[in-house]
Amino acid sequence: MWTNSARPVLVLGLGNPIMGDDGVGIVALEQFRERFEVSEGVELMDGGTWGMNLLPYIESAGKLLLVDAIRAGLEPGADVFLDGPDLPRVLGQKLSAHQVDIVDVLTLAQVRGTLPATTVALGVEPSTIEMRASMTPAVDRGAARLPERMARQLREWGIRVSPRTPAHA
Amino acid sequence: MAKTKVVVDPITRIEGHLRIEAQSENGMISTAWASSTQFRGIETIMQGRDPRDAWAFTQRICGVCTVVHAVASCRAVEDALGITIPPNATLIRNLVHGMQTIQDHVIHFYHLHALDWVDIISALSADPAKTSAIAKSISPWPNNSATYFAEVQNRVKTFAAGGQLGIFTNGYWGHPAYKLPPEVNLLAVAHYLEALDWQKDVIRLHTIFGGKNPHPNFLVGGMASAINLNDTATINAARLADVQAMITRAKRFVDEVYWPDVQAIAGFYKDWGAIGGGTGNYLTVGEFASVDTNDLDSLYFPRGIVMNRDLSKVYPYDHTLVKEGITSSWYEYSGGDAASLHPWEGETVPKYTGPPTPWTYLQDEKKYTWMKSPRYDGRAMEVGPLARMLVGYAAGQKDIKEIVTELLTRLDVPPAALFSTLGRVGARCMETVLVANQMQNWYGQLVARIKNGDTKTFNGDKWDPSSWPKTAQGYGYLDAARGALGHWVQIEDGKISRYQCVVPSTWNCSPRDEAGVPGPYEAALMDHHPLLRPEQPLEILRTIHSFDPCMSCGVHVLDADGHSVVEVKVQ
Repeated sequence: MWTNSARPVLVLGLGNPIMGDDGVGIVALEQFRERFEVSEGVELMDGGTWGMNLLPYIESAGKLLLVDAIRAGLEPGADVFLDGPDLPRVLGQKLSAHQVDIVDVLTLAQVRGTLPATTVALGVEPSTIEMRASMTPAVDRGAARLPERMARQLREWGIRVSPRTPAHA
Repeated sequence: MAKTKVVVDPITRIEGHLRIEAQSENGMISTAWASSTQFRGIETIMQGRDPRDAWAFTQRICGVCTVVHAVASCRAVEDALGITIPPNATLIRNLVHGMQTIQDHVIHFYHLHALDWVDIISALSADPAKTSAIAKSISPWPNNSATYFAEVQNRVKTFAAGGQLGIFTNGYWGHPAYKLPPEVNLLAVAHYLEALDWQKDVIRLHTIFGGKNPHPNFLVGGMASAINLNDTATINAARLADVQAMITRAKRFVDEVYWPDVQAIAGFYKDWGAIGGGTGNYLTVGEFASVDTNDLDSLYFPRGIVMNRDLSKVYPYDHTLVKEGITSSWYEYSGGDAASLHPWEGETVPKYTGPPTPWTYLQDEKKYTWMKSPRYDGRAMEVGPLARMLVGYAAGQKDIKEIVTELLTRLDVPPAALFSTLGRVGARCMETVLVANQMQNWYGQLVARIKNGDTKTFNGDKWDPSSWPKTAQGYGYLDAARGALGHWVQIEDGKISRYQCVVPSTWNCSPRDEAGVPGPYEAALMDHHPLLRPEQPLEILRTIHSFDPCMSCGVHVLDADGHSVVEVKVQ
């Protein structure tokens, strides 16, 4: 395994904000954007439910941080963390609300030899996934914890993450 | 002989939530049911919102079709408020939507549909030198050496040997319905991989005009794309040059890879020109106006209806004749189950009456799907590329006539072969060729207008809600990659009071109506449709995928069970 420092770190929010708890990754990404500034070479992307179209973005990344609703059989709102070489395999067991896409995309990246050397998935166990523009309270609280978790993960990768100065400070 | 029941759930290779049930007898399908197993309720989410924000919600209806739902929404609101968008905005929307169509069709063909026709395992036994000879004989595309194809073959071999076929695991490799020689299979597999690189370069066009992707910015009244040739923060000369490069790249791949591949592959599957026709009625709302969205005579893909496979006549389309029924659907109407409602009167009140999940069979139920049944003047209608090519052909649209004739001649099949599964595959490719040509035309017009000093992309006359009438209603048409799309909006006191969408897959996946007439998927599966091995329903996949279903519509929830994307239960 090797990493090329020229390849950016991609923080990829997945999900659909008009599908209730499914939107947790997108909501968290927006909150992260508001609260933190990151050093150059880190790309924040709202991947929605774009499926195969995400492949080129994933392939261009040196490190990949997925933020998503992940079904792991825990209490709704619980924090979920997945990493390591097992990740595609674990996702393959249909844990994530988007694995049908993301596991196919990761597999194809594998065939092409372009899978990011490091991939971590941060998520929250969803409760209700149905068409509505808000999340359940437990997942809302899970979403509120995510930006801090994302910042911690990025710092572990040696990325400078600094809180934005509040507008009225 | 006993009937065999076949269930395929979910059927889409990547997007989810379509369920097909079929009965087969003696190797043929006798009857079929199509069910969408997930409720969508965008209508209720829209109520009370600012109509100027509607597009930002509707573009999330489908994770892949973001552009079309956003534009249809803008058009509905513009229609309601009497807003005419500037010519530049029409041209930019054409370019954005055109590139979406091209990219979507290529991805659909190579990444979702090709494996129904191409046996990836067979490609492993191909002679790369012969593949190279075939490639050179059908196209000037440069990646055509024996070394190149050997390399591709080795990559897939390594992968297959590791037991990691992944996305390819679910194929019915070795099924007798696969007819391509190993060398053509290898050619297609190589292009499957190449298409992945191509798509990322061309779709950046959305980022240039819409600021970002996959959810570009749109704007009621035009486009949010500021133009100034000399300003680095706007669409300037350098970015326009990027757009030109993407158009060239898109067109070249379509002309030199996709189009020759489809013709080569179709040549081995001509029998599919007599399979899977279905309703025989085709509807288009038309698309790609020249400079004024409301100038329907200028639509590059004409609007209209072909009935009963009769290409001698095109009937006019009138959106007020679109009505939705719920006889077979899990909803209730205040006027009862037999009512059918125009979207402006539309109601979306779910009422599930099906069996508890997991389902064994839905086909014995009177109601079996979350899809309503849209009907045009009481008739089931197929929408999509085939409808566009047939309506255009019947209407005498010159480019369409020419390319359809070219394909029929090359395959040596009669026009009747168009009413089929193969017809859909061919039509999708033909219209991609045509749209790729038009991109250059729209781009040329846009650049000429800018050079003449017209940089206007937004009409703000009616931006302020105080300029709106107390009540208004509008219809936004759009012929999307997957077919005719309609958004209907009603506005009261500056807020949305009612919103209804009839999406292409609702037309095509619609269930039986009040009269018992099946929808297009169902009818296609009952039209001379083989099914050799019920436990490997490859033929069902071919026909359903030929419609390019997009049932997921932004929903990718998983069931807890299962390790296969295509799940087949047989009894």
